[in-house]
Amino acid sequence: MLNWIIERKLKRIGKRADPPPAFVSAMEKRILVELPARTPFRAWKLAAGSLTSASLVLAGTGAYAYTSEDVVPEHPLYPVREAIERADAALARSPERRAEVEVKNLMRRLNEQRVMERRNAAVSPEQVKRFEGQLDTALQQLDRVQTETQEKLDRRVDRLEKAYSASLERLEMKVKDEQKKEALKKTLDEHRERVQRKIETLNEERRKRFELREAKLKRTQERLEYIRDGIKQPLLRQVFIKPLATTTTIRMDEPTSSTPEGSRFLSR
Amino acid sequence: MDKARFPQFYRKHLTPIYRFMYYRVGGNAELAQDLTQDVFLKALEAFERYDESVSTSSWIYTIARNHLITAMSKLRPQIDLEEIANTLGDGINWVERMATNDDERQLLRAMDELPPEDARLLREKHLEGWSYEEIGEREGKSPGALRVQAHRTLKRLRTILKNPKVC
Repeated sequence: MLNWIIERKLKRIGKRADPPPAFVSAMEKRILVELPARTPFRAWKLAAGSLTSASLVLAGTGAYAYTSEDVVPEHPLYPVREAIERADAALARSPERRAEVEVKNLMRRLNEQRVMERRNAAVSPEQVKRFEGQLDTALQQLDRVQTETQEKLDRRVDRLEKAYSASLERLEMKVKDEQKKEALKKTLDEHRERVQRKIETLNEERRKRFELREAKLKRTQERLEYIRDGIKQPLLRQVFIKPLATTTTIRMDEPTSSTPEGSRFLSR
Repeated sequence: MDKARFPQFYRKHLTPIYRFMYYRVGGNAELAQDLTQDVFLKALEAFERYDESVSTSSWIYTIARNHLITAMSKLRPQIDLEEIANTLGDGINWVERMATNDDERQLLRAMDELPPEDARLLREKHLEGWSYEEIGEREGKSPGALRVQAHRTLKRLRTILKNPKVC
């Protein structure tokens, strides 16, 4: 037999191990879903974000609005601060960076709340809801990042939320006017209830994702067992069946919420 | 590299990676699909770190190899990890599953008699479909040297086929 005939035969055998077309197209669809949206609109948004951010920060007003402690909700320059924050978020390319920006913005809301607390200023329910909205965005972003970063930022978000609620409580104690006190108490109670609901929903979603992953691993393990049982060749027995006495179970990642410092958002 | 270029990268490397998995999991197509999917999702996550000028296929090959080793070692912690990735599941399983004819079966058995390095080159080149350039990049050899090695190996294979061992 000539060399090229052997080559052709080997290639023919190789071709039989081609991925099935259905798998190829399903995989391609999956990849397109996983890819970050790179539409012209997104490119335009990025360009506009860069321009807005640069022009606003460079302008003195923008810099003042972005950094000054005096700029709190109800301040005329507060919308400028919000615009810079939105531009910052649009500029973040990776999910990790986006999550960090969102957590940083949450930190700004907490600082604003502390300033309001020092001034004994009234806190509107809209303001508290705005904080909750950002808490939501931050948590959604956290679900897209790697486990290690997620745990770190999760704990930060948890601490930020607790500090925010504590600041509202202190403000409530300071307020003398009974009517305002009552309104603030109501806002605070509603806030606590909504955050609690959010935590429960989030934990449920994470638990479901965890169970799905566990089921997938179990299925893989079963298939591997099936292969091991089917192997008869001596060479393969050497490779795969040598440690017959050992049984293995696939270990899942331990939930980190069991630690005392664990975040409420982390319990699975 | 920009993630927008991942679909092209995926199309180029899907078949060799799938075949790599297929032969090493005993021709179990379902498991090969699962493992291949995991490999490409991992690659997509880390695609920004991929530099085409540094490696063409060894990057994805390394991800696939490590993923296979992790999957197999979960099942058998004492397994020789190098063996998993370097040994083809060239046993009865996939040969039977692929409905090979007698002629082809004889050829595959003859490959078992080759020195491991030579057999591996033929498998990577002809069964899995990697180019000499890609294999050379991983092995640290020039494509020319690999061509010569493959030619000599094919000659040796011919000799083995002419004088089959009598069992």
